[in-house]
Amino acid sequence: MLRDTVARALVYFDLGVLAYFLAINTLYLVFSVVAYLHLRQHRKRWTARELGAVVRSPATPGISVVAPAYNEEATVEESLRSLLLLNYPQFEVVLVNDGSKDRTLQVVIDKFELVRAPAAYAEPLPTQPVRGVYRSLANRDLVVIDKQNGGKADAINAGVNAARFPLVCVIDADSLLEDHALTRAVLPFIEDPDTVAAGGIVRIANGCTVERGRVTDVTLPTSALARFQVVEYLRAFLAGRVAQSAANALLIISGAFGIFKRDALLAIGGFNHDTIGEDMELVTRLHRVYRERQQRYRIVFQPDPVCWTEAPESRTVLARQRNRWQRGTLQVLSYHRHMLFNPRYGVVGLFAMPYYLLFEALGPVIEMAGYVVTFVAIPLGLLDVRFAQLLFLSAVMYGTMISLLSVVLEEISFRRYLRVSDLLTMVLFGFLENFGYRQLTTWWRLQGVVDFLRGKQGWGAMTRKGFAQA
Amino acid sequence: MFLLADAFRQHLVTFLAVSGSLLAAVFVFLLIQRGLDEWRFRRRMRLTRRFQPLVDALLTPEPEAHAYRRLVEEGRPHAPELAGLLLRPLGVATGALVANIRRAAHDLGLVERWTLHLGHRQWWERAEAARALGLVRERAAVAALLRALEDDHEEVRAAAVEALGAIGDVQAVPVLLASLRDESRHQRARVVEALRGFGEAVMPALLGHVREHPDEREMAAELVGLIGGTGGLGDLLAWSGDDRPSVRASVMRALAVLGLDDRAYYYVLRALRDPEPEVRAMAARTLGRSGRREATAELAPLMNDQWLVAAHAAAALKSLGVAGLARLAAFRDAPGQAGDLARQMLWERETLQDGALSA
Repeated sequence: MLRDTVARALVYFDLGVLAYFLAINTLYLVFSVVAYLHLRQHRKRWTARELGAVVRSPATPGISVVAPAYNEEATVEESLRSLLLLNYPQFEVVLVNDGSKDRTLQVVIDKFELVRAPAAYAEPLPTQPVRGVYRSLANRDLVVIDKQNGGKADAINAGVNAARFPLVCVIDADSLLEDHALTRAVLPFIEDPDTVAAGGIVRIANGCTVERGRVTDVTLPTSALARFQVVEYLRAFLAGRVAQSAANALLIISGAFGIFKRDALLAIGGFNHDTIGEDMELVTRLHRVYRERQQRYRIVFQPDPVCWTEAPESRTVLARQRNRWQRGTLQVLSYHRHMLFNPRYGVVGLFAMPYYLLFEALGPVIEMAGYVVTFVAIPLGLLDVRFAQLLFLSAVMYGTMISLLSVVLEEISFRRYLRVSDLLTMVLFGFLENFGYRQLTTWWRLQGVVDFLRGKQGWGAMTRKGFAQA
Repeated sequence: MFLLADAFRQHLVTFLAVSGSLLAAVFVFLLIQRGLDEWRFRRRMRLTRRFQPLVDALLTPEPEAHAYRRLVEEGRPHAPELAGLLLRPLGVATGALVANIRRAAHDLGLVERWTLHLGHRQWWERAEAARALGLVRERAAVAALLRALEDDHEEVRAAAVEALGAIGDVQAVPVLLASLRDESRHQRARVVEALRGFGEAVMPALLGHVREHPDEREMAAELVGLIGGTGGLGDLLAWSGDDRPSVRASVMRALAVLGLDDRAYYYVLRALRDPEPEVRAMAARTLGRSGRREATAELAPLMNDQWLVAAHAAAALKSLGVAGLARLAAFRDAPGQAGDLARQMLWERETLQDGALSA
């Protein structure tokens, strides 16, 4: 009797897990179709001629590029030179030295003829005390803020305070922007003045050749872990974010590269110091504030301004990163829980946040439970083997199809990997991704859920290998 | 329940089979496309291997007649592919070597093709043609390239400017100077670069042009500085009295590059009392670069000027040797901006010396 009840409960549970896998994969299928249509339209709309017009137009808004730096002595000079060479008509670079313990500030002073200047600007966002503002005599587009250590969010807020242009581009000091990244990222602001934020695509630079801060030859990394991440990023950015942006339901603009209206940042109080997922928290807060004020706004993902970043190649570091992302997502959902299923917040409250709750926050719990229950219950005779087959079809095979679809999307829209061998490798890793890698990341994310419930804070160290120079 | 699961599985298998097949078909198509691209690439590589030694043979003052004949006869069917090979050494080649390549381009029918392509409907073909004509220094194409300066597409205009600069035919100078009014900042920069390539030969035309168009003095002053030489010094000094501060500042920047004789030095000293801070700042910068130690007495009072001026004056004092450092030391204990700047400059100087010593 008890055995029958348990068996029946397991069948219902397994059906629930199947429904979950079908839902997430079908959702990604829909995302991919929407993204394809959107990408096609985007490419038709913004030709080289149109982009040229944007560069020439006196109406193109100026951008302050804010780059927080902490102990970047070895790379800061090259990063700054590369930023100052960006192809954009009107911009400044605001480097924020967040209380580095090494010679970051002195290197910049020596190399860019910096002179201490009076801090003649208001500081609407509260930050740790600013120790000095430096301007460059060699390059009038460079400003350096030296402040006491307060973390990344605090450093960005100090940069936003000092920014003199209406748009603020936030990047990681070690991100590599493409020449026309700003021109492409500014397009949503020109197209629709209600745009308050726009994010660009983040691609993996491991394996690529980097020359003077620019990626000059795009190739796949040699590490298997990094290759899986290439396919993963393509799916997340090209399918996921393009489609979410089309519905104005984008909840994340990557901290590695995003442009924001300065006024909007000031209006919502800037970046939050107390969260690990500060990029997602900020975008969610923008949605919340603008919807509460019933103001028209748009938060957009642009698929072509590229920011290259280094992906972790060791399992320990990747596990730490996924754990942190998971805790960040849960933290943001918990901060803004009253938005969930709340019609006041429109598509964000009724679709985007429930999507993140079900598939991102609870996803690892459901997925792992599904795998464990199915593969324990079948040998015990509590579940029919057909459920395992169904699970395999809906989770692994369907998932594989979605991974391959994102590779197709990349191939027909941007084709950044020019070698046939790279395309075939991406297909192979898109196929293999669902046989082990996905389960591994699910496990790390599950640990993130546990750590969140235990109240664990902190980022964990990210070790970087550095880019291969030509 | 199992019936439901079976039906569900059947539908799922059908769905996955159909969509998987579709996906596979798309992949096959993409692979064929990639394969064709790869085939074209390999063909280009094959041609490169075959013709590279013949092109290299042109890079001697007197190429072997046999190699030249083989290149022209065997290369004619592959002329478009050979274009890249011929043009590659032209970035650095000069004189007779360029003439050799130009002759080969003529005999292969490439010059005719490029001239024709200046009217191509696709902009990148027009731009490519302009660039190629510039690289082979084809003087007969100057008129067509001047027309290309009016092209709708910026890339084509850019290529035409670079080509005219490379050809160096002085009849292009007036039109290039007129292009200094192009709406694109990048295009203006390219025109400046092209004019710079002409050297002092451009000076009479440049000064004549600015006399007719005084509104272009700012850009012209920068150009005089970039070209160097003393040919434009007189006009430059006259422009230092222009009503527009941007022109006066530009003149000071140019003088910083040209260097200061006694007359120019006097004009720069006068600019230290200009009502505009930008001009005073640039004048201070120019004095810093002049190496004239007697200027330190004039620079020191600027330490209490507006921040921009004071910062440039402080940096200038730092670069004027012992006399400048002594002036800075006098401000070391002063309160406010002058003291801050002096202390920073002295600290930088000491840090640099320490670095130099430890190195």
